[in-house]
Amino acid sequence: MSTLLVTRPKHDSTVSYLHYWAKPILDLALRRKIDVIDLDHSKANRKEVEGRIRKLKPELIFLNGHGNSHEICGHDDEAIVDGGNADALSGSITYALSCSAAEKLGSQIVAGGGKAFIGYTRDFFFVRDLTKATKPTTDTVAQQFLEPANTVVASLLKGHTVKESYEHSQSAYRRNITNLLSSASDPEAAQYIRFLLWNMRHEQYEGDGSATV
Amino acid sequence: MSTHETQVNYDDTVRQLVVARLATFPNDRGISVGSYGEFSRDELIKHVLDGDEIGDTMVEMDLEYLRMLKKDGFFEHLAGNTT
Repeated sequence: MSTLLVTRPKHDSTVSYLHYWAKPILDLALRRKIDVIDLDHSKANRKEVEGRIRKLKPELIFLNGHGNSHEICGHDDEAIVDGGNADALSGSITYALSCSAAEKLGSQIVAGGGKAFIGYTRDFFFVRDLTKATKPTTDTVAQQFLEPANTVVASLLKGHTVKESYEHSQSAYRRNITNLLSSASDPEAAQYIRFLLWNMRHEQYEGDGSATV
Repeated sequence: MSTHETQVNYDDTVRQLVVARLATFPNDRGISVGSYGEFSRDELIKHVLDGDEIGDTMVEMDLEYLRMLKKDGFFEHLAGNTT
């Protein structure tokens, strides 16, 4: 049986949204009989994350949190993956919904034996409806951004390759942008296009595009 | 904090263009700007006018979007007809 390890910190409004929007992915994994290691809240710390990854060698790792080109963060913005422990991800497919990690860290992970790394080479943007703060998954504004982003993991869980999953995510971005471009009656919709286009253009994968979970 | 190192000096005309476009953004929305945190429309406008890293990223994003709109094949690309 395959294993999915997820980090879901929740210490600020941005990562809290990622936390809630990752939940349907966990549900999908369970429906597909995939073991789920859910490191949420304070469990998304370096010791716990690195220890679980080294011990369980999950086929798929889904990291939600802040980051930059050199590190991916967890609870309270502690660096949970960086150059000092990138080798722990060897043999796994890693998707980081985290800023800029694909700029440099992704290459380090793949060079250290990671099967593949999918992420963003620059900052990841999303817009949210402040009136939906207590029910993030009902926020149709945020949905425009977070569904295409999470399509990568959903597609991998359904058995598609890394390359196919990246392409499915790109298609989801294109579909949302096209829908917004055609929403002539909703001037607000057009405002989101620049952010979606940015996320789409800065999403990338490296490593073995034919790898599957 | 972003570690992206490209530094571009945008002139005031470009900044005003981006501000004008941002000004039409609804103010009851939170805009999560990567690892910098979440901002309102008015906060982002201030960053653009201040010319700091967050503001310059917004300018870069807007210019990239406007250039893409002008590009041949943009809409076909969105429709998935080209890679």
